[in-house]
Amino acid sequence: MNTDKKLTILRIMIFVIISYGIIIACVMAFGYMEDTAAYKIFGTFGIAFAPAAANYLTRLITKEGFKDPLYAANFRGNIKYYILAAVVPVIAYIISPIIVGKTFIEGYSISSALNGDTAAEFVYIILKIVSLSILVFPLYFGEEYGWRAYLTPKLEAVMSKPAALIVSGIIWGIWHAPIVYMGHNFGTSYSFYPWGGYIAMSVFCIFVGCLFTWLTEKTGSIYPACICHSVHNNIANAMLSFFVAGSFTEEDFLSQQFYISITNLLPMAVLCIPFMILLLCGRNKKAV
Amino acid sequence: MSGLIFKDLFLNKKYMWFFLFPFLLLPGGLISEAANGASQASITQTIMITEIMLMFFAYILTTGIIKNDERKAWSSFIVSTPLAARGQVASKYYFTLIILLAAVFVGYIYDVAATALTDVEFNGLSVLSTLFFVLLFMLAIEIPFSIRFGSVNGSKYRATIIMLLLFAGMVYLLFGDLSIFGDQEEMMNTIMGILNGDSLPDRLLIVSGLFPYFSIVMYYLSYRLSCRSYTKGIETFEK
Repeated sequence: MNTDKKLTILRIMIFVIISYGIIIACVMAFGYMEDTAAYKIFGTFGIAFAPAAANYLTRLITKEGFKDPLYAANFRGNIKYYILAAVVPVIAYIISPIIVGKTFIEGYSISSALNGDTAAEFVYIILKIVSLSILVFPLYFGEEYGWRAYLTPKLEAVMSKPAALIVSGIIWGIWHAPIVYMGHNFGTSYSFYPWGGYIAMSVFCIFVGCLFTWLTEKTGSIYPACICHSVHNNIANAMLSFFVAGSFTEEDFLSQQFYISITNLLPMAVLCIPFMILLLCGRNKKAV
Repeated sequence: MSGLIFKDLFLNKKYMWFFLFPFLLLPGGLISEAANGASQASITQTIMITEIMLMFFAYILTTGIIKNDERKAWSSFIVSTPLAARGQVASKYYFTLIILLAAVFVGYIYDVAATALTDVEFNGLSVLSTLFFVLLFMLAIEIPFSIRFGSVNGSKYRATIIMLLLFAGMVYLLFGDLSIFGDQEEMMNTIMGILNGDSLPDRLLIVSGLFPYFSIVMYYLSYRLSCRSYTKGIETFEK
């Protein structure tokens, strides 16, 4: 193993330790006081920016330097990718709640689930969520600047591309473990708690990571991935509540939350498969 | 490009403390207000006013970006570099966007902090986003005037055109054909309903949902227009 490869592996390890360390520290320090000011301010922002902080600190510790081509927005010629970044999660999460409804609710129909809301209200909600998500994309810079701008290119330098995508997805998924343990994504009342949640999150992160990496490579910028991540996180629960929340009692929902969440994530994972293929078959636009 | 954005940041650095002002108000204003048992409506109002003021400061700051950089020698030099007029104009549009996004981000943190500290449920992001896109739309109209005619003359021309448009609109409302707006009584009832807190009619709902995207497109078109007129605009700079 040559020195460059060893140094890259060392950098990856330092990056992973720091990003895991920050999220564990945030959850341990503030997690038990969920719904308090301290958790909302320091916990959530600390968690959101942990990977970006790990990127900076790793560069600082290993004296790598801060020159990074992925900072630029590169709008010219790439507007279509920015639009795609916002549209893909919308398509997925319009389909998702219908599948959830048909699977988990007896006699489910969209018209009854809408509960008197008009098509205009539905379109308005989507437009509003997407515009808000575009606005709060800096929050997701914290994650994408770590995973897409640092970890994935570094892994690609020491292993094959498919392996790098799988490993980065697993690292990213496991990074969510403290918040999955708190019940944020899948609740806590499922039989494989918390391991089922860790596995589901890691598998989902592999698929979504491929889409985000594809966007980053195509544009040479991390902002489309930030926008896609932002739209994804904001629209997933909003669409679920719009289409099916009224059809569940709270008890029913909590008891089936793990399976409902997985079914809700499924269309997004399926939509990511073409991007995974494109990523694996296509040539790199640029070496990072 | 990033060099030009840093230059703008350097030129305007003395105004950056504006972004801290909501947090300066937090301990003295909101927390003591909450501690003294102020009503939820009053706390919500304070949070909203602070956010509006923050966005207003950001707007004032953005209007100075072009004004602080109006120098013939510098502008002629930058046009002769490989970046050309397009690079110089793009840096102004990027920096303006960064300032507005930073204001939203600071406002969002303030919102989270304020609602968490006072235990009041308030979604400030909706207010911030509305203000953001309205300001983006206003700047999309304003910047090309400032670039083409200089900031002083640009604001005069802009004000004149806006006044003329308002006047034309008023004349049309007084003497024109109003049948295209449909039944006037129904229109008045809808307006009164909205003011009384009813939800928007379907058509208005879609229009308000599309407005952010319209603002973004306008901002891009404004950039294209400014690129074309920058070289001519240099001649109008006073220094």
